[in-house]
Amino acid sequence: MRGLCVAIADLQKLFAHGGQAWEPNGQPVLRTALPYLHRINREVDVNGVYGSRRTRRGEKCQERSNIVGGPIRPHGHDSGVQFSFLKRVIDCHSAKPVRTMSRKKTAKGKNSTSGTAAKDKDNGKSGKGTTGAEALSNGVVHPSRPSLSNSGEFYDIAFKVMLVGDSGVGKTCLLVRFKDGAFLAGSFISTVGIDFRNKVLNIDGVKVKLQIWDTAGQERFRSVTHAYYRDAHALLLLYDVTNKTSFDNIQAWLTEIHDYAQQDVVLMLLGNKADSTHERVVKREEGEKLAKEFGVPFMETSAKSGLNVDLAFTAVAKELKHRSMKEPSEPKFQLHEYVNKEMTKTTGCCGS
Amino acid sequence: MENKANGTRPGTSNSAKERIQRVDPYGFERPEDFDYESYEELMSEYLVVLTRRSIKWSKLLQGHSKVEKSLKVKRYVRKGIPNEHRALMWLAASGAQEKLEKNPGYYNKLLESEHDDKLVETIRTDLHRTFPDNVQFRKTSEPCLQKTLFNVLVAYGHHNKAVGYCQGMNFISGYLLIITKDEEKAFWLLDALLGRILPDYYTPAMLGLKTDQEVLGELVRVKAPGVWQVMTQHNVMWTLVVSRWFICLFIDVLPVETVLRIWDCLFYEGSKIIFRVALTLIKHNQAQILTARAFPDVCDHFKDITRGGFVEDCHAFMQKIFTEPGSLSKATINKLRDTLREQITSQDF
Repeated sequence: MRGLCVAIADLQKLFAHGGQAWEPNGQPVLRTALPYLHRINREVDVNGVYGSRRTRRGEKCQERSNIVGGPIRPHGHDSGVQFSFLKRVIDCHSAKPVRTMSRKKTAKGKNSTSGTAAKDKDNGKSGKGTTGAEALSNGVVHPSRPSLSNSGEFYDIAFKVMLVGDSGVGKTCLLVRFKDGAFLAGSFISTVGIDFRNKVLNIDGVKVKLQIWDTAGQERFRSVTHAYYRDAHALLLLYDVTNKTSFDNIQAWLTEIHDYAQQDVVLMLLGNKADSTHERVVKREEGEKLAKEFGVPFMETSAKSGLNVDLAFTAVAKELKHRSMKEPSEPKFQLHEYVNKEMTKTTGCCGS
Repeated sequence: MENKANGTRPGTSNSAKERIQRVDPYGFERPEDFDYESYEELMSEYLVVLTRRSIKWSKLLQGHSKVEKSLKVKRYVRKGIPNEHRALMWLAASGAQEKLEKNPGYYNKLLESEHDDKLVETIRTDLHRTFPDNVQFRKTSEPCLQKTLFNVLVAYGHHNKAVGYCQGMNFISGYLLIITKDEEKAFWLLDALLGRILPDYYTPAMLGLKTDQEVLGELVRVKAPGVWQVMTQHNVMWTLVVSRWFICLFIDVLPVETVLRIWDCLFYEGSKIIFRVALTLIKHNQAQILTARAFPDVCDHFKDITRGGFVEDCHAFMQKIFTEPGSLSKATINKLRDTLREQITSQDF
């Protein structure tokens, strides 16, 4: 657990660097074992131990991609507007904030770009013969025209968010509340495997599409679902304030996240079912304390009353959007501060 | 829609929505957006089939206490087991009946034994999340299938400790209870499915599931290469789009009646049927899947292809599953399973 504390604390430090990660000797870390990662020329690496872990895991990813369908293929030509199935419109799956360090595989994205030329330079180093535009594929989508998401909504950038936490903590309910503004009282079924819903948010004039993945909470499904962790840009980790075990398991979840998610993943801890005052067994202070210990933003939510549901997703979207679009001179978006400020503003009771 | 029907045919008075019950024969409430008109149309034809099959089956079973497996019975099963004989046939074909008879009192003994608290708690978490849209699973209904579901799952968890309880088993047991209306029979059918018919989908390592997902991938590569290419191109893992198909055996993926027809064959012919169904869905909708321009499109298409007329017309669909995918031998599947399982294990997932 201590190792994890250190890792997350380091993560925080890294954010403060604007997401640039360097080896202690000042060299960017290259993932030579993973061709598809070459496009990202920098890799988070805080200490030697970490680096080796990453490599090992990276190889694992590649192995997996082989069984699933072979290594990721090089790009087809961007043929403009008409879409053959070879034409890929970059989407959240391949979207990746450019400025943040990443281990993500990126080979499948490409896009038309606008207003992001500056970012190409960063990726130019990555070699592998990718063009500037293609190199951008590990970046966020900045289509010259807004992209049409599959739900028919236009969006500018897209991200992948995952909901994780024990079985029955309310992941699906939280998602449905956010997506449709409804509470599924007694009419929802347990999630088997993995499912997703999309929602487009307007963040400071930018249409941010969140593709939100809802996962099965049962432990044995983790070996199936953690395969997606590495593609997630943000993780919302939930526990149920009326269920002590779900709270106690948070540390195990953090370990899981540490092992499988990208190191720069945006992470937020949520204590759900905050409306259940009578059944509550985990105090808000306990959640706050744990969150502080691991350096992650925290809030209590209620899918039933709607408390902080929009805020949680919006905060994540803001952070992701900010990371991907900010100019070097811009100050870092303070997710913690934003969350704290917004909570005191909107709810009073749950603000810290 | 119903008003329009009312208006145009005043003589025949009611619309399909008024004629058809809001709850289906299995206790499921029809969803808000249920298309009563096309359902009625479909049923008017299917009822004829059902009646014909029912007569044939009555003749087949007349004077027999046991049904021997034969080509004729296999053909009959593929054309659908009438609901009144379903429990009987599932029990006979899967060997569950034999187990039940050889182990009298075993089920009750499992229920009476001391329960593993953790197992019980895990099962409880899912009880109210199993078919909340089915009136038989309401806490207030009598008999309440939520209680019998609890019993079946707890008994099974103690019977097969290597599996315990895995999400998905709640839905499968729920269907078994709806059909058998008898928890002991449901228990032995669950035992047949998990213990003999399916590979190890539900054990903590879920190796059988991981393997079969990849087996499907390989089959798609051969039988629908375009789809395989799209999946590869957008780097969509098979587990993402098909894990529920395998774990829930198409419950909540396909319409109830279609699922039951699939299960008829599953109990009689084995797990190969799952691949037939999956391949049919994929191959039949190949053109649609190929329009995917991005990763989420692929996922959406895989959701879409499990809906609509093609899967609702269960009789036609079941004919399709034996023609559309082409030949599919048990040997091929077993060979693929062996190879891919080995690959997965060696990669230390």
